[in-house]
Amino acid sequence: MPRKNVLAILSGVVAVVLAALAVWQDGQSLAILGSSAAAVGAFAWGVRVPPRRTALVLMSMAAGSAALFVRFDSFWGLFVAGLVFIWAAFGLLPFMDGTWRLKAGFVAAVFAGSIVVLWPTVDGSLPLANAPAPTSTGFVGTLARAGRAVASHLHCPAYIKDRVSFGIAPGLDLSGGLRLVYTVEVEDAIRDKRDHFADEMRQELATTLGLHSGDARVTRDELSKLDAKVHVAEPEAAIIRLKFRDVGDKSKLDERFTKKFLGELAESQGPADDEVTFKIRADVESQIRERAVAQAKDTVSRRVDELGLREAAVTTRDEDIIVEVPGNNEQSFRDIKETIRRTARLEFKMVDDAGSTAVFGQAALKADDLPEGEGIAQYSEVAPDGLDSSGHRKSATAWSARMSCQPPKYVSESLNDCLARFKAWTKTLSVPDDHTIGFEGVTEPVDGTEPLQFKQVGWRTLYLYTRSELTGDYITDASTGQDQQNFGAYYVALSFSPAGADRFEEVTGANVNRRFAIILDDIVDSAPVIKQKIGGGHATISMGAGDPEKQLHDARQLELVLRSGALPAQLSPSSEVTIGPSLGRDSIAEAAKGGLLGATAVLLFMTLYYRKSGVVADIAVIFNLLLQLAVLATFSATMTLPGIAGLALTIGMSVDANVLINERIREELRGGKSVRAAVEAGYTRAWPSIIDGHMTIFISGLILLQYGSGPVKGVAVTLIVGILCSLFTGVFCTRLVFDWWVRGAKVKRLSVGAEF
Amino acid sequence: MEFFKPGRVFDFMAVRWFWVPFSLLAVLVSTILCFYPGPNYGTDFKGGTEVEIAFGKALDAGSVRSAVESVGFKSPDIVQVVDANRPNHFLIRVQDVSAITDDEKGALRAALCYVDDGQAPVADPARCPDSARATEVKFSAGGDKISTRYDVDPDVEKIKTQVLSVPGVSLRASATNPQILNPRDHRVEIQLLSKGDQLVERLRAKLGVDAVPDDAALRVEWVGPKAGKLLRDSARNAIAIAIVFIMLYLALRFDLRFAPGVIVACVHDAMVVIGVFILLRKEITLSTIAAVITVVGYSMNDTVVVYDRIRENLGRHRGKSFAQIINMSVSETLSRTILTSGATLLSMLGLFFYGTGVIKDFMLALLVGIVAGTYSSIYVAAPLTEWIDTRMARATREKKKERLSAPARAT
Repeated sequence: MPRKNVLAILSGVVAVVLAALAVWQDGQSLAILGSSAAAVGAFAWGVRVPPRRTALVLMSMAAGSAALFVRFDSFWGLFVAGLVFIWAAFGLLPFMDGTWRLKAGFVAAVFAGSIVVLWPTVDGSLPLANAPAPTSTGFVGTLARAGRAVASHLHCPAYIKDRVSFGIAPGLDLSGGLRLVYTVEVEDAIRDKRDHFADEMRQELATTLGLHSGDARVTRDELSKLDAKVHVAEPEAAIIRLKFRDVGDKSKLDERFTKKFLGELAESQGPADDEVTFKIRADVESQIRERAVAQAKDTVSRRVDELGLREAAVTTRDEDIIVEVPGNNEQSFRDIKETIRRTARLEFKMVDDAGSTAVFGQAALKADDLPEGEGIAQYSEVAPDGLDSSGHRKSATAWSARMSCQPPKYVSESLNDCLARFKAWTKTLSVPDDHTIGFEGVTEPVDGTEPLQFKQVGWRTLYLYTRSELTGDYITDASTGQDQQNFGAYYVALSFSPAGADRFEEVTGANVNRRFAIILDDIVDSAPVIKQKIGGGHATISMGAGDPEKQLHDARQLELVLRSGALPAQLSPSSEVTIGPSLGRDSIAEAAKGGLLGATAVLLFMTLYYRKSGVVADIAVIFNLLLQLAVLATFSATMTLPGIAGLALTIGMSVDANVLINERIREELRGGKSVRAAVEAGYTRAWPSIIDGHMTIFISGLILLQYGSGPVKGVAVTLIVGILCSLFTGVFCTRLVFDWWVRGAKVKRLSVGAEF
Repeated sequence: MEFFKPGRVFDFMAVRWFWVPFSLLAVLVSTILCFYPGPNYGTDFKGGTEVEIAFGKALDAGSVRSAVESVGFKSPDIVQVVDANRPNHFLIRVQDVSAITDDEKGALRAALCYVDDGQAPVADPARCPDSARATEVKFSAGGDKISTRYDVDPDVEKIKTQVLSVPGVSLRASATNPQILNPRDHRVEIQLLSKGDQLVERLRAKLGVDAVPDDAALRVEWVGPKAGKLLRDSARNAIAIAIVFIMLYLALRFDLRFAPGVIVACVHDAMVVIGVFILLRKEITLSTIAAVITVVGYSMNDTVVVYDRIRENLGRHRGKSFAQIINMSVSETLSRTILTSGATLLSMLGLFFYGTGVIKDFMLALLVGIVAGTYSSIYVAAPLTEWIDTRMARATREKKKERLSAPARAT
C-alpha cells in the first residue's frame, strides 16, 4: 500500500473521530474545525493519489458537507453525509475489485444507518450507569455485571435522541398505554333527530295547509307564514308540540301527514285544546341511542386510523366509548384526545342583519341595561341586506353586542370562560324561536409582527336564523390550503356531495348580498357576504390569522375530523387511566425468554449444519432483523404480537434464502465444479426459487396493505419491509462474503458443512 | 452434516392415494367444524364481560390470570391499571356473557307491566301503578342490564319486587339497584346478576375475602367487540384479491398448471389451522387472523420452492413422467425443506413452551400452520399439479387427434 494512501485514510479517520467527538460534546465549533481540516487534508492527499482518487474526493466532500450540516444543525444532512463517508471509505480498502468495495461500502453504510436510527429506540432499555448491579455471584454474575457496565456506556447521545423523532413503540398488548373512556351524550342525538322531524313536519304542514307546493325546500317566507298559523315548538328532548292558532286547522292533519310520521312518532292530543303533541317512540329512541353509539365508535375509529395509530383499540360499553392508545408519549396523547373529542359539527346558517335591531337595537337594548364591568358593549354596523325589487344591492344597519375579554374584573379568564359569560348574558335577552344568536371571535392585530398576525381579544354576536341551510353531512372531502394573498393564512377547503352542491347553489342564489355564517362546533368561523350564486360545491373555512404553526396544526386537525365525519353527539370524558400490557408483563417476560432460546437454537443449528457458511447466514439473519426494525422505526411503527409474527416469517424467509443457496452450492460442488464456479452457479440457480417465493409474499403484502384494515395492515407492513430486507441481507450481503472467500482469500475448500 | 445421501430419490407419489384423501378429509372436517360447532370468536370479535376490580392484596397479573382460569373462565385478558389510590387495580375481560332467554325476556316485560305502543296499558293499579309501569324496556347486549323508562317518577322498590317475581332472574346485590339514572326522563337501570358477578364471587371464594373485599368490583359490564364485521370482511376480501393476483403471477412465471396448486395448498393450510383451533376450543382473536395470514405466506413460499425444482427438472428430464419428476424434485429439495421448516419450528418452539395464554395460542397456530404448509407442498400442491397436467395432456392429445382426423374426413 502506498504511503500516501495510508495518510489519506488516516486523515479520513481523524475526520470521523473529530466529528463523532463533536457530536458527543454538542460542540459546533469543534466539529467545523475538525472536519473541515480533515476534509482539506483528505482532499489534498486524494488529488495526489490517482488509484483511490474518487473515493478520497468523495470522502472529503462528505466530511466537508457534514461539517456544514453540523453548523446549520441539519441532522439528516449530517446523517446522509456520514453514510456517504463510510461508503466512500470502503473504496480505499486495499483488496478485491472496485465493484465489490462499492457493494461492501453500501452494506456498511446501511448497517451504520440502521444503528443510528434504532439507537434512540433501544436507549430506554439500556441500564443506567448508577443502577444497582446484579448481585448474583459466579461466572454468570460477573458476565452480567460486565455486560451492564458496557451497556451503560452505550447510551444514545442527546444530540441524536433529540433529532430522531420516530422509533418503534411497543403496542397495547406488549406495553400498555392510555385508556380513555368517553360517554356519548346520546340526548344530543335524540334532540338532533327531533329537530330533523320538526323540519320535515314544517315542510309537510306548509304543504298540507296550502302554503307550499312541490318537492323544493320550503322557503323562509313560507315558514314565517306557517308560523302565523301553527307554531312548531320543541319543548323537550323527544317532543314536538304543534300549537294551532285556529283550532279548525287541526283537523287538516290528514292521513298523508300521519302516515309520514306515525311510524316514528307517537301522536297525542293536548295538553291544550289547540295543541297536538308528538313524541319519538320508545323503540325509535333506543334505536337512535344505539345508532349514535355505533356511529360515534366508527367515527372515532376512523379518526384514530387517520392519525396513523393502527394499533389503537376502540370498543363500546353501553353508551361509553373506550379508546386504548399504546405508548407513553404525553404530547401524542394530547393530540389524540383533542382529535377524538372534536364534534366537528358544521352548519351553515343565514345571518339576519336587518332583524338584529329587534334584539340588539337601541330600542330593544338600552345602554343602561348593559351590565357594568362585564366588558359588554353595543355595536352597529352597515351590513348588506339582499337585493331590492329592481336587483340593486340594499344595505341595513345591523346591531350586535361585543364582549371584550379579560376586563379588570376577570383578568385571568380564558377565551372560553369569557364566551361562557357572554352566553349567560345573552340568555337574558328574548330571542324568538326561529332565530338564534351566534358567536364569532373578535381579533386585533398584534403590533410588530411580520407578516401581521392577529390575536383574539373577545367575542361578538351574530343574529342568525335557527334553521341550518346546510350541514357537514354533505361534505365529501376536506383539505388544507394556504392563501397566498391573505398573509399566507391557512384554510380548509371543503367539497360537497352533488346533493349538497345543489343545496348550496340554491341557498346562495336565493340570498345574494346577504351574510352567510359558517358555524363549526357552535362557534361562527366566519360570515362572508354572498356576492353571487355559488355553484360547484366548494367552501372554505379560515384558520384566523394567528401564529402560522398553530394555524397549520389547527387546519390539519380540522381537515382530519371533517373527513372522518362529525360525531353524532358530544363525547364527554368520563375516565382516563394508564394501563399495563394486555398480554401481561409476566407472559411477555416468559415469552421473551422462549423467543431468545429458540433464536439461539436456530443460530447454533445453522452453524452446526453449514459451518462457516452457517455463520454467514446467521450474521445475515441478525442483520436482517436489525434492518427491518430500523425501517419500521422510520414509519414509527407499533410493535405488537401480530407484528412479531410478520417479523418471524420474514426471518424464516431470510434463513430459507440462505439454505437454498447453500444447498445449491453443495450440489454444484458435488457435481465437481470448482469452488468459485460452484458459488457462482449456486447463487444463479437458487435465485429463481428465492425471487418467486419472495414475490408471492410481497404481492400478498401489498394487497393486504391496500384492502386490509387494523392489525391486518400491521402484518402487511412488516411483511413488505421484511421481504425487501430479506432479499438484501440473504442474497446481496452473503454473496459479498462468499465472493471475498473465493476471489479475495482464494480458499481451496468452501466450508459448507460437507466434504467433497 | 447431511440429512440424506445426495442423489437418493424417495417415491413420494406412490403413497399419494393415502395422503390426498387424508388432506381432503382434513379440509372437509375443518369446514364442517366451521359451521358446527363453529369458531369460538374471542372478545376481539364478539365482545365479552369486563370486570374492573381492585384487589385488597398485592397480586401480579400472572396470579390473577391463573386464578381466573382456575375458576372456569377461559383465556381471560388481564390488564393492570396504574392507579395511585388502588394499587391492585385490574381489568379482567372474559368472553363469557350472561344470556337472558327470550322467554325470560317476555316474562320480565310482563312483570314490568310493559306493553307495546298502540296497545292499551295494563289497567291494574295494584300491580301496575303509573310509577311502576314501564313505557320502555331495553335489554343490554351483555344480558346483564335492563333499562326501563316510566312516565312519572318511578317507584324503585316496586320495580325490584316486579323483577324478582320472574323465576331464574336475580339482581346484583347493591344498595343502589335498581337505580334511577336520569330523573328528568324517568330512566331506571336494573342490574342483573351476571357472569361478571359470578367471576367476582368465585374469585372471592378462591382467593379469600381479604383479597377480594365486598367493594372490590368497581364495574362489571358487557363490552363490545374491538373488531367488528368490517375487519373480518376486509380481511376476507383482501385475501381473495391476493389469491387472484398470486395466481396471475404464478401463471406468468410458471405455467397455468401450477397456479391452482399453490392456492389450494394455502387454503388447505389455513383451514387446517382454523380446524385445529375449533377442535381445541381455542379462541379466534385478532392475533389468530395475523397468524393465519403468516401461515399462508409461509406455505406459499414453501410450495413455490418445490415448484421451481419441478419446473427445472421438467426441462431437464424430458422422458420422465410427471410423477417421477415430482419425486425427484421433492427428494432434491427435501433437505432444504427439513432445514427451513426445522429452523422455523425450532425458533417457535421456545415461544410455544414458555408462552402463556394468547402467545401460546398464537404460536400453536404458527406451528400447526408450518407443519401443514410443508406437508401441503408435497401432498396437496404437487399431486394437484400432476392431475391438472394429465388432464391437460389428454385434452391436447384429443385435440391433436381431432385435427388429424378432420382433414382426413374432408378428402
